[in-house]
Amino acid sequence: MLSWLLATPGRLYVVATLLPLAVFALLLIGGGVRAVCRPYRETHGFARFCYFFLGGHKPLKSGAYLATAGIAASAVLAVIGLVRFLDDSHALSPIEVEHRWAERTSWAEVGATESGPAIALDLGYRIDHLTALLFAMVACVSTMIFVFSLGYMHDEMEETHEDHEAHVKRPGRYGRFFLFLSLFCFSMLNLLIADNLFQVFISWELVGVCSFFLIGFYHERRSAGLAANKAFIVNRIGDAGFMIGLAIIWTYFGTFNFQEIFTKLASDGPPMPAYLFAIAGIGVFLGCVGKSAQFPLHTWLPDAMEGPTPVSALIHAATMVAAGVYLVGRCYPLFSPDVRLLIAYTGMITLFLGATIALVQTDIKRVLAYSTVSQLGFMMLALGIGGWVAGLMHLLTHAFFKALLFLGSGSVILGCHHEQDLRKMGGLRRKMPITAFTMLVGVLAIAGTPFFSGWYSKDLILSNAMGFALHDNQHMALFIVPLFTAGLTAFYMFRLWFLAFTGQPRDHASEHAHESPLTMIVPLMILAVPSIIVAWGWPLWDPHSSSLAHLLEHAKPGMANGLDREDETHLAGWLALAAAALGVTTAVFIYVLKKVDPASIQAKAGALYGFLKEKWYFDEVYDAMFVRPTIALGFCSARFDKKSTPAAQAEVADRTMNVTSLDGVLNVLGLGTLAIGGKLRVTQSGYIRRYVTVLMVATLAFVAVFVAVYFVG
Amino acid sequence: MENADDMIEHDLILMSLVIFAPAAFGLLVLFFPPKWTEAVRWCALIGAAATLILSLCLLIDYHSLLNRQSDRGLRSMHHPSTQLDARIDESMRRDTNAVRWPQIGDDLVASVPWISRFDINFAIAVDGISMPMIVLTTLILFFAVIASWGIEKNVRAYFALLLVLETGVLGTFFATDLFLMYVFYEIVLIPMYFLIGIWGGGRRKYAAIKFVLYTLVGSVFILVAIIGLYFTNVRDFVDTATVDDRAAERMKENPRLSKESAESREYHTFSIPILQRAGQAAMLRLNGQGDRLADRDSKTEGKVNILGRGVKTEDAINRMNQPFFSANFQYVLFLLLFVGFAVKVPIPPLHSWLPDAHVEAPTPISMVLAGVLLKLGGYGIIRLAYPICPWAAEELSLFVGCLGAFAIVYGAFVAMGQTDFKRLLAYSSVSHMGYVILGFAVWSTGAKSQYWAWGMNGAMFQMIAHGITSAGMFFVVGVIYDRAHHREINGFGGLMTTMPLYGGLSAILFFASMGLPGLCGFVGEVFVVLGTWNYNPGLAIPAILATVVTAGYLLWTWQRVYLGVSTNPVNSTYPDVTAREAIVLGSFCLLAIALGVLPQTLVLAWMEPSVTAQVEALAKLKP
Repeated sequence: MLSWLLATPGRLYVVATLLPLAVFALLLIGGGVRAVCRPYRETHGFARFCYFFLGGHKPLKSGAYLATAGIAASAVLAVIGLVRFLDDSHALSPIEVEHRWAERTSWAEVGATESGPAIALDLGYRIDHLTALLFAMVACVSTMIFVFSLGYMHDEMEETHEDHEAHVKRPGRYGRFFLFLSLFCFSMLNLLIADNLFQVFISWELVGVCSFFLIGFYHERRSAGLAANKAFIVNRIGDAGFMIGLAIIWTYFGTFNFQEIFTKLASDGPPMPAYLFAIAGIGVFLGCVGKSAQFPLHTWLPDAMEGPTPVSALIHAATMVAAGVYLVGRCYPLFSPDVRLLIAYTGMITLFLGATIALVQTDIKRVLAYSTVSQLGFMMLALGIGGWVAGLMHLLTHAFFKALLFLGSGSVILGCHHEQDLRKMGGLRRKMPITAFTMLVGVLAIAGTPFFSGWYSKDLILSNAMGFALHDNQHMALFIVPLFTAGLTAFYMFRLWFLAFTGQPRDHASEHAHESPLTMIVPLMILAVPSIIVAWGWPLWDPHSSSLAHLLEHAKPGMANGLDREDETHLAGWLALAAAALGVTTAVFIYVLKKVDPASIQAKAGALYGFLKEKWYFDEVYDAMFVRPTIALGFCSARFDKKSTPAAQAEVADRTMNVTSLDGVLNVLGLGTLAIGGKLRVTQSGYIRRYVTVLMVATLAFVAVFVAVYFVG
Repeated sequence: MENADDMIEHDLILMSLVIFAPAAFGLLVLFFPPKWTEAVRWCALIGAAATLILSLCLLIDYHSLLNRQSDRGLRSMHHPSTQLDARIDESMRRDTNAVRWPQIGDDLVASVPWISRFDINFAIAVDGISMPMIVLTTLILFFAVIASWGIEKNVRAYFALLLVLETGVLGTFFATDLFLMYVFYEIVLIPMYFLIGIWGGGRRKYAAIKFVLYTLVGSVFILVAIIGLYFTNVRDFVDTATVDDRAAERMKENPRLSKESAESREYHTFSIPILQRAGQAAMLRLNGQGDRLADRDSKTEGKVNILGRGVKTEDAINRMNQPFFSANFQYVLFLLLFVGFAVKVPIPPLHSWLPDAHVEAPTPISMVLAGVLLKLGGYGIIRLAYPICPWAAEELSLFVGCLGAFAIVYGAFVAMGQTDFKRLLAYSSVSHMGYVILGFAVWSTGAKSQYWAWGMNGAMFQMIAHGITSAGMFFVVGVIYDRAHHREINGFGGLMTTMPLYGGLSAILFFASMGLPGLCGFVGEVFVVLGTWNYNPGLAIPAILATVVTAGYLLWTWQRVYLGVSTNPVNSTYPDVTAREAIVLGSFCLLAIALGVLPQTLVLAWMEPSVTAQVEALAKLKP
């Protein structure tokens, strides 16, 4: 085992990926055995032993510690791996690096015929700069969030926990939370190390199902169940697109391996008609649209906030939703220029949409959710216009500060006794200073304040956008809209911070607020550090010399070179700063100095306010356009297939002819035969005389027919 | 064959044991005193377990058979001499008077004369197409017996019928003689009729008679096809030595015949491999490529070696003026076989019996019905319809593919409109079996035949996966039906809180059924879809989009049954699953996970060589 591990350094990553899976399996088996033993604990000694050994009535605390230890070990391995990989990539030739940091094995081989070898679905890993950086980010952020959850989920440790929203008493589910979280970490890490699209797709669906279970964690609440279903089904729509893309790639490339596809593309161009290549690209992108909550499939993400806050931080902000951006970056050569433009415009619409809705939300987590939608839009836009490095760098920096913001909001929510409404908060600065301070770091980072990590990445995006727009004037919107949105971002983030932390408490919940326990604020403080420094480089004041960007530059696919047209004048950066400053100033005017009353703005722009408050009515439109018709079609098909009858009348219904359904029509055939049989039965009279007559007539008829055929033929 | 039995045919004994062990135990329980219900159950369980173990031994045997001939190269386990056709041919060669070698005792091919007058043999064999079905059957029946513990009404008869049913199904999968196969296929019908009709729900008689009538109609189609096949003279596809043997025997009976006369040399058979060869020759002839026919030992490139040894290609082509080799006959034959088995799959619009049968059948019978009986249909199509009438199958492949895609979409939408849990699952079976049909249909030739191999293997895997998930899902319904005594989806709610273990295990099966990667449902679906795009994107797209609808109806059900808080206080009083129920559910979950994670090691390694060889044999008929 150990020798296998040490054979190539890349296997560090395999171990780091499999650790959470092992924890998941342990927890699953433990929980299963405990549940099986539960009813027999009184009667069977062994069952009793197992039951109480595995925690008995109380949720098992050690499971959570095990899970945290597992992901922490992964994080350590990830950092070691990152350092060793960077060393190797400096010192060794690319071929040697490939040899040491990539492997694969076949998962299923089918179709070895005489005419050709089998085509196999492979599993494998391949580490490059992008994977190494993202892997380290995911593992480290996950570790922080696991630690935070140890504190945040504390009330799930009770033997009977009361859910105040669903009004039920139930056993705490401390262990189950960490179970799903561990499975999620495995799937996410597996997604990152995958060297082929198929493995990405597997992980893609697995992270989706973890997200499903975690959104529905409080499954007694109706809203949680609905949100979970919505998330999964919307993602499935994206995945169907992904699958179409996969089928095309499989048919024309015969492989899913990234390197093989890209090599083929680089040498011979796409081996299929251009329109199919575009469809394949759009298909894969559709998967990314679903996962990264881009317009038009963005509606699931805000609802996903029904899950516990650490889940929102980990899955729905820092990692899983960024997977779509990652995949666009990874599959970059698969996208033709037209598809890239589609990606850019999708990103633009999404970032604007998210930001405008975030302006008026009052639920602290929803503001953050829409800001996530908006920031993911920024990343997609950057990738679409050729800013490969810019988009993926924003993915990295965003992960840190958004995780920080979400965990901060979790701390606020816990401190305010599960109050999420910003209107009922206020003055929390004094009650929970550390949360307030660390969240301020996050807000400053997302707003694009100089020297905070967000500044470097956002500056790069906007400068790319400006370069693109100047190069091709008809796409000016791709620069103007994000610039304007940068201002909106600063405004709504500061609005959130001011509403929660400044002024006076507006409700008893915020009056009795208290700072969170150490397990929760330590992760906040730790996350605040990378939120500031992760993108630093030298000179510090030059956003274009970020060392993170230089590292990412190594992983850039060859065809992305020359696509990024940066604006050299730094004008975009200054404009972005001005927009952000404007946004902050407005927020200060409204929420700190109270020069303008928000209520009066609401009253003046009532229609617009309502439109934004109702999230552009997407949910209603989708409900009317897709959900209801689909369900209606389901019921219509069911009726077409079979007319259901109440059990009492079934006997009669079975014997009546009914041609209004498929089943009925087929039954008529049977019943008709029965009726004919009944008629014919009369002829079976038993009189030999009649039989002989019939026989003679029949014989004569046959003879006549034969004679006729004989002579005519 | 006096001197041929120096060697004991171990394979014949083992295979016969697998087939008849269940029936033997079934008869045994009939002799128990009526009061000994618990003993009857244990006896049935031991019978099912013994069959399961024997079938696993057989699987090991088959695996080592493949392994023995493996050349450790790229195509290891694919050695031509391990193919069913080659093994049966070898066995027949050893049987002829001219050579008279002893039979091989471990080639997993066996034949004992049954009705010599019509050349009907008790011919059984195992290959990669029947083996997974056999193991699936013994596995599902084993769990069905455990699931039957709660049956109180006439326990002896119940288990006797259940075990006889198992023999019928196993016999169908084992048989390489059409007549034998048909007999076993019909045997299945009778126990099933009683099992639904006596132990079923309120409308059990209606459901039982409907099941029997639909299946009988299908059987009639198949019977007509079988008779049509028997009346074809297939002497060119058997070694001349064998034909000579037969002629000599005829002359003994009827001295009037001369050895060379056409009548004495006619060869009629029910042997499936021989008929498959004849069908392939028909395809070559109808495509105008009769000159590619060659005898088995010929080594020329580009030839199709299906003629018997010693048969001249020109003579064979001259004798192809029989109706069997004409286009219309092939069409009719294919349609008869396809429609006959399609009733069993079932393919809409012939599926109407399924929801009724499922709804009325007791839980274990539903498990058997969905898990095993539907596979008879798929097995019939891949074993008979496609290889015996390849030309018509190829001509009609688009039609078949459309039916498959239609079944997928239609089944999914109808399932969405159901309010009865079991009925919903019945329609989801229709939808999932659609992937099987679609996978069969995606004919491609030449270098692209690999994609067809993906489709076929995907279809086979989907049959296994569906067997496991659907049986598991029906057990899920059974568990809750035992507690609530109703199946209205809207009448449940909050079961995840009340019965957490039940909820957790059901979740795995729900997602396996939905085709989540890492669980068994995914493998088959994705293979089929990947194979289909090459054949026709227009069929692949509905199959892909249907996954959204599938997720929709399953998750909607999930939400209504398991999530939330029930408005009905009774729902919160149900006890969680018992150890017996947990064993069944847990085993299905384990199987779903194991097959989803390791499809190659557990199934494809020994299934794929046969399936791919069949694809290859058919694909090369049309370069």
